[in-house]
Amino acid sequence: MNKSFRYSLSVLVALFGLGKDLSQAQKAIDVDVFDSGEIKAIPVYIEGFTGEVLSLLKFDLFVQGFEFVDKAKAQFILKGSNAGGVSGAVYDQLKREFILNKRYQGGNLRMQGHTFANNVVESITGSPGIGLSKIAFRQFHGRNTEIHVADFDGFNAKQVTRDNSISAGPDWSPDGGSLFYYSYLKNNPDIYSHNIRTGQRRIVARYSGSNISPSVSPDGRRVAMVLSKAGSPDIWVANVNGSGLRRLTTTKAAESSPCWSPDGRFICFVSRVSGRSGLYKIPANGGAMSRIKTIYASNATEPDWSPDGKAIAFTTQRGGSFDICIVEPSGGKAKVVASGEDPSWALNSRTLIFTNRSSGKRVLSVLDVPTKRVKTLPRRFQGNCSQAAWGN
Amino acid sequence: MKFASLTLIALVVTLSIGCKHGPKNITQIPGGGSNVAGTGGLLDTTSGGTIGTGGDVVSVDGDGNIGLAGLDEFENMLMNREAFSAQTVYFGFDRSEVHPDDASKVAAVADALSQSPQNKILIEGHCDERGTEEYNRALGERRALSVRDQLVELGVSGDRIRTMSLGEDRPADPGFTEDAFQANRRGEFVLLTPKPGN
Repeated sequence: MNKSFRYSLSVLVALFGLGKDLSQAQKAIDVDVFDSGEIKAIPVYIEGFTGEVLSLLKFDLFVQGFEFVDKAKAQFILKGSNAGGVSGAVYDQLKREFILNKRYQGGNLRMQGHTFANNVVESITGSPGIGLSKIAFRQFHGRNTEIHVADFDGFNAKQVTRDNSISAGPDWSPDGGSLFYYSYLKNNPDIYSHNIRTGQRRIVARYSGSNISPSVSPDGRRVAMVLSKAGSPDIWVANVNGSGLRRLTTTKAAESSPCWSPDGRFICFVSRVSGRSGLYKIPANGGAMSRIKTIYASNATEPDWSPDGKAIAFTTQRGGSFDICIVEPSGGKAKVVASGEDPSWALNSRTLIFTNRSSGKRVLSVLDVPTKRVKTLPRRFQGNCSQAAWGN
Repeated sequence: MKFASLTLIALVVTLSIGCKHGPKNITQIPGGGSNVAGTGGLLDTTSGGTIGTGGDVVSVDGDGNIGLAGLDEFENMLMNREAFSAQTVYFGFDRSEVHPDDASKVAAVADALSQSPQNKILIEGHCDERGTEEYNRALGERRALSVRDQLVELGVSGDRIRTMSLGEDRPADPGFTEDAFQANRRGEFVLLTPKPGN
């Protein structure tokens, strides 16, 4: 940006009174998930909402870095109503002015509430909210597991597979229209793509041995996966219809859990090639694999690359217990952010969904990484749940 | 540059006027009552709405070029889990090598297969639950493949052997004790025999 342009912009900002908004927004956007200092939640006070909408707003905002405090201590006041539809406003106590005032029509009460929550997040932080996003996950039905989808808070859940088999490892296409997962439907773990509007399914990979852990590329055109047809579980990549199959790793050790860098150039995965499991990356078009060091975190598995490219979340294991860690994609010191396993990033690159396991139970929880605060999904499911994948 | 600044001013003025005189702060949620969509507009999330649950699988061939490498040769065979139940092999924690103590079990299976050339074998790899799910799925496959390697070394043709990992999904013992974990880290042999008349 050259000088005169910046000057014009600041004049404009002054003219339209946007200055504080912008600096406020800038501050929040720059929240660093690796910040070693204490990152404080944004204190807000909420009034006027009741019941379901109040609970929804509190959950949505909590997992995006807000906390609820007394009116006197609040930086922002959220005021509104959910009688006959959601309406809401945000008052900035420092600037002494309203920065948001909206009424919502159509959809249903929950969608209106999530949309207001998104508008609150956008108006205060400048980042888009995640309130309308979806998750796909695996739910246990006795000995079998099926793929389900739901709103990110667990509400409006729908069962996607009814195969009375083991279906697992779901991942979304970037447009949200298809799920990729593997299923033992045909007595072998095979990878399927599944159009969730029409229910039509196609086999992406069905070879002798394991065909598991599909991960769709950010442009939606390719899928990385683990196949063992060459005699060892390796990372392979193919077009989403299964054509153009290419083997990327050739180790004798087991590889697992591929995920993509947001620019689509690299695939991060787990390998046992050193004798213990660790994170590696390899060019998606083929090349040499290289280690991603995770200092202080051993037995790394289940990586997920944040959409902004700044962090890789993964699981570390000590004995029988699991912790969620993050590390910079170039490798370095890993930082433990919660106890749990199998993290998946939301599009905001600050919120994670993951699995909590204890004495046979598995439940999904959501973590706000910068403030390290965790909430279990407010909507519980009959069966154990795991392997949540956050859609866009 | 001046031109760009002026354009920007014009744009901001337009936007700001648009805000002030637009429809009174009302945000219309797309989808109305019946077919409410989330981002992407593809999921019907209202109660009673339907989602496309998995129907029949469309076979891909021709351009899709999905080979069923080897798997079809194992279809239409009878599965016998009892025949080699005494030959189940066990693995150390997070290990995938066949223990020397179990070598005689693998040899017994190889022997039986050499005497019945019409039969084939499925090796199932299993894990205890002390590992993450997808990691265990790959570890189970690695275990089954280690057993396969031993059978091949003993002269069993590779095209008579199928492997399948069940990860931690089919524990032999559902407990959470060390004994249960040991019992679950295993490789099972399932004898495959041709169906009568085939």
